[in-house]
Amino acid sequence: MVKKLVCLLCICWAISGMSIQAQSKLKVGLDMGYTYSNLKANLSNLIESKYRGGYGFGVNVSGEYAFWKSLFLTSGVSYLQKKYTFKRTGIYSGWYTKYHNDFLSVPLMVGGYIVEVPNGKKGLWIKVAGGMYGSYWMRMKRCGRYPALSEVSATDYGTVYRLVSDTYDFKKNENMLNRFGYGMQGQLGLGYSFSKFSVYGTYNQQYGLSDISKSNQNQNLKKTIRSYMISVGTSYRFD
Amino acid sequence: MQRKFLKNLVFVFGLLSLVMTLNSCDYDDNIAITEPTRYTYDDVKSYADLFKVFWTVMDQRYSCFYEQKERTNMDWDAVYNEYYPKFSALKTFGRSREDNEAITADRNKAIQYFESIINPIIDRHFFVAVNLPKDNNGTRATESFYGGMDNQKANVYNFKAKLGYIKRWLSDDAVKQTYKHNVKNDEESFTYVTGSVKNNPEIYYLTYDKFAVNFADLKRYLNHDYSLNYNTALSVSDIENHPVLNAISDKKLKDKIKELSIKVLSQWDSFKASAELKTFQAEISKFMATEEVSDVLVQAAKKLKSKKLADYNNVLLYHSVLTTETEPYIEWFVSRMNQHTNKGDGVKNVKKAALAIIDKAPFYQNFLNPLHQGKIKKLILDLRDNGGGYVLDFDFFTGRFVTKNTVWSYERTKEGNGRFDYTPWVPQKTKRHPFGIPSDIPIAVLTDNGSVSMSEATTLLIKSQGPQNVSIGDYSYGGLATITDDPDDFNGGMVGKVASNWFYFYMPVSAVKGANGEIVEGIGIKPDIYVEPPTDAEVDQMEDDPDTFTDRVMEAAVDYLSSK
Repeated sequence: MVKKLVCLLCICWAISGMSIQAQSKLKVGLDMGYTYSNLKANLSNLIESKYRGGYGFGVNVSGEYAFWKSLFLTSGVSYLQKKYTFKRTGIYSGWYTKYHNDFLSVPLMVGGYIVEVPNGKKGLWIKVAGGMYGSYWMRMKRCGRYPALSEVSATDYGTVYRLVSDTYDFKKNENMLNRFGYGMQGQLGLGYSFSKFSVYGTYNQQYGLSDISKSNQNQNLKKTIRSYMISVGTSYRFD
Repeated sequence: MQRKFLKNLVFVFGLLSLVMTLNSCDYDDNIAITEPTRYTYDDVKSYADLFKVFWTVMDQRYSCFYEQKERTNMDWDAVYNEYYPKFSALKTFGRSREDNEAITADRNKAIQYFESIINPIIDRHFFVAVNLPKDNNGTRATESFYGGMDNQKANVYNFKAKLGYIKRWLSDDAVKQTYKHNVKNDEESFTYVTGSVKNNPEIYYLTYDKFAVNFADLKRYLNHDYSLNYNTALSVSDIENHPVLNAISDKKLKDKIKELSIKVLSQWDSFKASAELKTFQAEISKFMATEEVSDVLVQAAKKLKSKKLADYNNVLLYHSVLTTETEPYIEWFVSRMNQHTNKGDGVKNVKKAALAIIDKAPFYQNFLNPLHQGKIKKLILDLRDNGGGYVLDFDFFTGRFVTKNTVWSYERTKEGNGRFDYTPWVPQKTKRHPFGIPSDIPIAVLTDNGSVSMSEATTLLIKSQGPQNVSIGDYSYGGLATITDDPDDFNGGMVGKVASNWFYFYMPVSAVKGANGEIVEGIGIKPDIYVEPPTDAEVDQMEDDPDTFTDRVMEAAVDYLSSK
């Protein structure tokens, strides 16, 4: 997987290089916003258990290279928080785990302008793009509430719950998580151009294809993260 | 131009809304996964099916795959790849057309395969009983497999054998007692021996056969409102003036039944007003506040126990006066007495409380009370051949050895569906019992290969209290994980039948590590002072000639505590 990430980074650098050679076709942008993520997992055999999505924060630094008419190639680096919660419900409610994950994501997409503003003009533009992304799981923090199994009350048999939080040790990796992942990404952008500068809003959808578990070989038990991000930012077009 | 732009805008926002809506929906699962309890008898039609069900239940529910990988390098997928073809190659399955010799040969191979797979399992609570075909008449016989089944077991200090010689070590005031009581609605017997060590009376000794110490029944009775609850009083005049009684034509019979009724009523009323009950109530109140069992309380309990009360609900009480004419009156009387005494529950609970006090008094007076009063200065807690028991004893009993709030272990369970989907490690903390030791005392916990589960947890907990506490003897068994009855309590573990009766699984819900991060599952707790386990000759001597048997672990414990 390290190879895959290095490969993706090389592609990004290559794109940047091309951009520098042809700066008039290059647009760089910075945007930030919120993310919403959930873990897709088959829990059909587990009673009163579910994953629920959660909101986080994200920042994208992107570069866009117009290679033919309205078509462009885009890449960049994103810091994405992907949060979700595992929860027991119903009669088993009482314990849960809140996952707070930090990812570094590198997308590579091809797109096109549906509405384009000519160079040096003001106006509204709309673009769509689609492609792949590679990601690196930087950190996983967990906080949850769990029964302390040895601390049952002798008088009423009541369960004692304990709040626990930790930062997952990827070195030890007891849950056999895969730090490198990939998936499909789609993007929709809407902006207003003030000549060189633009302000814009984007919607990015990431559809995880890789299993977050290193050890799983059963497709039916595959767990993937799906998320979207809605962000606003600004971009600059080089002449 | 403007129209085209607006069209595009509407299209883009429509697309955006659609994507967002889809993304916010819960995802449907692809293929439903069969949970262990849903497998049926018909799901197993061959050895290949049998293995597949076993492998899948383990895959879904076993909680120690990470530790298993670290310790034994077990790869559960590799187990499947290796053994599925082997089980598939066993073509018989006890069918009527099959040859008995071939059935036996396949059965033996299946036993060998299961043994090879399960022997490396490190969880020492784990076992699985598998029903295997025996002949072509449909006969099946169960074979049990458990982790470490092929390992050579160290000898232990058998509890019953220990009772034969340990009295030589103790002073004449030592107490041995067995009694039965209810723990979590199960009747349990509990045997203990306690007393001071003859050669060094400063050292106290306690051993018991299992962790069923918790006196939940005692607390239940004592917490109950044990006063007689006279919510609808019945009086003598109510009886005398009752028209059904006065309608009885036979005057002699009428007087006899009236006399009996008044006698029963008076007996119950006098019980409520008795000095014995008042003394008992007063002493119980003191006990609830201090947990001290005084001789006055025990005497009051004995007196209450001996007090006779007519069982007005028993038809035999009325055998000399029961006729068709008196029957309506007797029914009325029984009904009114039930109201008068609240069905007699108050009295029943007083009597149960009295009995419980009488039963438990020796343990309180000879161990729990002196422990709390600080009279026990040094302690040998002998947990050899103690196979564990109820986790409730942490709260009721083990907490009495706690002076500091510490983490004594960490425990985690499975969470999601993956083989390694674990919760974080949850610290298990000590909790001081209000009537435990007033300050630290040196405690020597004696362990051997028969010290399992709660015995091991208690050893870790006591050792977490400071260096004055040590464990002496052999390594414990190494079975610390928790068992629960309900497989759905956590998303791991399994206790019960699977696929009708093809399997019986006994699989804990958790993995446990010590306060220092050490995994003791399958290894046991390393003693601070190691003493070789008894040899075969010593085991024989322990049982056959207890008067000459030398307990080397006791010697080491007395030496250690004498130096403190």
